[in-house]
Amino acid sequence: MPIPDDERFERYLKQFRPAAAEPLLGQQGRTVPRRWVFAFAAAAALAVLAASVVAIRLHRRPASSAGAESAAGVQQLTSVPPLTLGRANDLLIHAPSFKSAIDQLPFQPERRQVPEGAQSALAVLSQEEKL
Amino acid sequence: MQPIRAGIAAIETLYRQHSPALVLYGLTLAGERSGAQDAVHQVFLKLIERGGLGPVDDVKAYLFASVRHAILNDAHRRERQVPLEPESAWFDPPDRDYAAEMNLRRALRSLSDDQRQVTVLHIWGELTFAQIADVLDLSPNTAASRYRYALAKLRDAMCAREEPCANS
Repeated sequence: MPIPDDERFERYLKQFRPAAAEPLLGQQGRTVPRRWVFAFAAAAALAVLAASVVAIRLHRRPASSAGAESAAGVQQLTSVPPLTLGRANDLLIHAPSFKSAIDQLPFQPERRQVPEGAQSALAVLSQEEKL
Repeated sequence: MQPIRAGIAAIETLYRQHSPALVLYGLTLAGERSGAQDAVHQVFLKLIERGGLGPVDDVKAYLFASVRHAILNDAHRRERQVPLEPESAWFDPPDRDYAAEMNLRRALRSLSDDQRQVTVLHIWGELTFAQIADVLDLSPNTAASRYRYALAKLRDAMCAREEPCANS
């Protein structure tokens, strides 16, 4: 059972209010926004990075399709019938000069393997020229 | 982001409500105001970092217990006892009666640590004896008994002087 004097004394003590604490926002209010600013900066950097990656990929697609087209062109060029002795003779007959005949020969990007014991038309022609 | 903001706002509200009593309680443990203030800030900053209190049954008791742990951990870390700081004011006295405030401070310092903690928690922290028992890891009866002794001792110490104290 509370003693009346105690209650009165407690009321008296409660008239003393604890001194105010330092404001939390004075210390933390700057810290939290700083963290958020950092988070936003990080998010923005990630967004820029992601956008760059997407842009690079989008940019690469037309390039690769153009590459496919050029590859097709090369394939078309290389699909020219191979140089044979007959074709070389025709070129030499109809060409005004040996140089122009050589110039009309199709460019071969890949050196074809000549079977063992055989000679390429160019080799034969070059030997004839030497003779 | 809204729940985080709401959590921070709730923590700030808790700080406004309880920080004066928490710092006062910290003062009785740490012995100096800056240490007490640091401990209270530490507790609330951790709450803000976690985005809220989480599942806590008794928020007030939790806050006082957290401040106590923070100060005791700090005292262990420093491995020294800091004497109670005599200069800084602990209270805003009624009618700017700073002599009475000094008298109350002196009387509180005359109590043992246990008695001072129970007194501060009950009168200015407005914790029940059950809550005090939780904070200090005591039985509620021990807390109540300790409080009665402390109150009598405090009254004797204060009223031994010329202040009106309980008779006002």
